[in-house]
Amino acid sequence: MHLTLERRKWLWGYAFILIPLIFFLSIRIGPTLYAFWVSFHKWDPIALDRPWIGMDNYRELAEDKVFWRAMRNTWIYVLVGVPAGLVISLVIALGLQKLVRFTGLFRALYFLPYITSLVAVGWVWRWMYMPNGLFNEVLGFFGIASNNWLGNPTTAIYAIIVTTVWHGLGFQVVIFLAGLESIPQDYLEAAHVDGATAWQRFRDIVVPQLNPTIVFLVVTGVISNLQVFTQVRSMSSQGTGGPLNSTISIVLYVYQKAFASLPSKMGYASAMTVVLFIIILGITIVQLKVLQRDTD
Amino acid sequence: MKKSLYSQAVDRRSALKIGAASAAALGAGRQVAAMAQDATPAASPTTGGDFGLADLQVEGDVEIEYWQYEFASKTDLVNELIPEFEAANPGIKIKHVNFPYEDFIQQVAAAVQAGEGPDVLNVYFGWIPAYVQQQFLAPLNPEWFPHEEIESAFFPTIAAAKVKDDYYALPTAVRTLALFCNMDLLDAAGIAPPTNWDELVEAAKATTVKDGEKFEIVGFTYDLAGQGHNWWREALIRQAGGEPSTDDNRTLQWTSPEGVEAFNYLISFLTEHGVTESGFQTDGQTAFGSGKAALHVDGSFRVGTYAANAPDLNYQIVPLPEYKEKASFASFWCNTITRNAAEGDKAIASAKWIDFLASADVMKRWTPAVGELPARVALAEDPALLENPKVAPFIESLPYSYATFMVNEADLRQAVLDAFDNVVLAGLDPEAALQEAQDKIQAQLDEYWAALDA
Repeated sequence: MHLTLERRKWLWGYAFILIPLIFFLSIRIGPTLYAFWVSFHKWDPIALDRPWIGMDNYRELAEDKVFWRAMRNTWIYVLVGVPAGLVISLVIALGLQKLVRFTGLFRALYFLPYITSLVAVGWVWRWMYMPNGLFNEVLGFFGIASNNWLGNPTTAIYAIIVTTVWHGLGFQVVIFLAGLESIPQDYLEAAHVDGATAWQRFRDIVVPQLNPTIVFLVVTGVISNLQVFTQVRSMSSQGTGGPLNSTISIVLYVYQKAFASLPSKMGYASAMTVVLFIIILGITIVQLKVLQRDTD
Repeated sequence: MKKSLYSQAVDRRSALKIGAASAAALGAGRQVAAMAQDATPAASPTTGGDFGLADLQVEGDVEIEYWQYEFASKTDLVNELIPEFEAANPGIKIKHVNFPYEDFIQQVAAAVQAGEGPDVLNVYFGWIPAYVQQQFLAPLNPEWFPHEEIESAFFPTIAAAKVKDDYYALPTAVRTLALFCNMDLLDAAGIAPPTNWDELVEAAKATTVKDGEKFEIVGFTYDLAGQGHNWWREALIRQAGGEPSTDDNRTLQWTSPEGVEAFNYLISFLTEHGVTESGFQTDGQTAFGSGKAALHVDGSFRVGTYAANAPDLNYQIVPLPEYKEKASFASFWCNTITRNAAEGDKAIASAKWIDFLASADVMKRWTPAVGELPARVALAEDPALLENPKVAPFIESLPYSYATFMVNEADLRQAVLDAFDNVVLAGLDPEAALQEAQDKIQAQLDEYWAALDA
């Protein structure tokens, strides 16, 4: 068989992506499709029979108060956590960009939390949040009554969001810094010469130029907040999304039903993951279409 | 008593051979002829269990997998016991598999789904009913493990290993709850460890230290998620003269007057007496371990934690403060035989192994090494075990300690925690909160029994 150079190149290309492709099919896509299949069964890994029950899991889901609570909480994680993270990290990135000395040090400092294990972070913050912990100590100086931040159903979810935002800041700051550096200085200087105020320059040049960066951070932020798990598991009272399910997220509820309880309700948990999958898919498509509309 | 048990065991030996032969035959019908020839074993080995299964012989070489979670003192001791058992039981090999405690349920499920998994599994007693419903466990053969003998030899907590008419597990050790008293704080307040409900309130009040609104020392820990939910369910309700459920484990009685009284008593520490707060030092055991709590209800397993992490803590342990009755909560890990080893040589080998692990000899070594309490009544008076003042009060509580029958441990726990939170945080009426929790768990019980009865 005679291969042209062109064709040989083409074959090599496919040969190289074959391994990642197999990996993705077997590790990512395969299990995802399998979860769809499992979600139509009463699936207990240990039981001898796993009967097909059609849409029953989805019907049960529709009436499960805890699931809807988890859905609502998950949206709070997204709608509060993502904007807060973006605004704060943009402010920090703008500040860091202005620095002339010790830039490396400061960037490293802001990045440190991100490379720290979220479980360790969660436990340290638990100690700071406890009734006789650091935060209440500090608030006490200002005469503010102490609060059991994580033990109070009103404040617990926001306490966890604060930790999540803090943990993710480093990553977002670094991405913002890269975005800011790629803005041509000429634009800013020209605007300056034309008499634009700092706010005008920020609003009309920096933000539009950062659009791809913002899109990227919003998409990844929304996805990771929709999948919030570790910090809720390690910080919520009893580790089960309490008190009174005020912090439970969908993924934590999936984990509880599938892995942490006996008998395991694997089929039911799979139905939840399917719902979450569809939500994430839908949001990502919409975000990519809407937010990226007028980048150029 | 001891003598009669012994003679029973001897009498049973001849019967056992037949039982063993027929059990093995079920699994390997072809070998029935060979079995018959083999039914006269050589001299019985000395290292065996107390159920007298020494004469029970395996047909050929057999290896069984024994799974238990990683806990250094337990796995070390089992690794020491395996060669002794194997030497005494030629032909049987034990493969000891360990995995992290946090992954217990997942690991077992994943292995079983993949068509593998243990022959003998060490499980938490509260998971037995669920595993039984999943037909994962094989009942203990009553010919080898007669019910009367199980019931007379073990503490009443063994009831939690029984579902309907069968026993499914034998424990090596059990744990009970008792009251941990920080003696520095109690002495400073000039009071003795409390012995009843009222004294507990008084002692907690006397030892609480506050700086304005802030607690410096809590008199008593409020930690429902720790042992609090167990303390209420099995100890406080029974102490108040009630029972958390009917004897057949089918109907909950949490909303009985005794249940409500016990519930209100526990909450009163938080709401009425002002001697504690939720989340203080993150949890109860940490608060007590760091010397910031005077009194704390916890299990015998905590003694080991404090020996390692708080060696200077000056504390005493006393039985749980009582009211109209005495009662404590018991829990245990126990050895079960799975459906992988339901028949043939594996069944015999597994039975001998769990018999050995539940023998008095092993228990005597287990308590000092692991810190758990012996599960056999005969050892309650053992002077060597009672010598340790940190262990004795737990052993003392054993005759009146109860383990809960639970069909979904996680949900049961959550329901009780939510009941307390609903009152404390959401301002619900105690009876309404208890009713909600009871309804939820009762529905699970009803479903469980309906499936099992069918």
